[in-house]
Amino acid sequence: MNLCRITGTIVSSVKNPQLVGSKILIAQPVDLDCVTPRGTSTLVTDRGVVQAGVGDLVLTIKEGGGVRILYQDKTTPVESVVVAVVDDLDVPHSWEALVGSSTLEHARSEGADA
Amino acid sequence: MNLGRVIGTVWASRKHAGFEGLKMQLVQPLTGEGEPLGRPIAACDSVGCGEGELVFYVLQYEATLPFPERPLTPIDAAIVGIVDQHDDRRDEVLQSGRGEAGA
Repeated sequence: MNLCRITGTIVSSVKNPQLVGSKILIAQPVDLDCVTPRGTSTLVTDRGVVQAGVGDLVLTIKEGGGVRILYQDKTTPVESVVVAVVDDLDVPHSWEALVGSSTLEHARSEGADA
Repeated sequence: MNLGRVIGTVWASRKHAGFEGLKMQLVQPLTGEGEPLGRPIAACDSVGCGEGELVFYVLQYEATLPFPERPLTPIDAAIVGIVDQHDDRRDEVLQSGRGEAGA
């Protein structure tokens, strides 16, 4: 699951019939400070599971199998969905030391390439 | 799901039988804000979109789901909707989020 900030919405009237009733939102992955953008933004859906809106900090999944379990439906063409609205993160200030700085640098450079 | 702009059409006369009668579009992938992202891809059209339109599409296995009448067709990108309105408030949201974090 990825930590993202919802930054916008998409309105669409012509779409796959299975997507009717799902909100389509723009999700920007963010760092653990909850605001620094990390990587590129994509679209996610929310079919009333958590009722996420613009400005919310959320957890998203980007895997079709999880979506099919959540929607209990094998035919909806969706691979990314909001599964939680985050109230708060409890992260020690020294988390970077816990992970190891070299791992972090590697992850950051990968994120920049993506 | 991903945002994209339809920039053209692909014509192929020799193709897998499953593609018969299916429209294939060239799509430039975009970020959520609408900035170009990477190289254009070919995607099968399930909604009847045209050149220049802003659309959203799915990739991988999910791209076969809009075409249940075409089992075992090798599709890895499918357009599933046309965007009417794109409301992006990224700057506003990230700025106000920063205010909360500082508070």
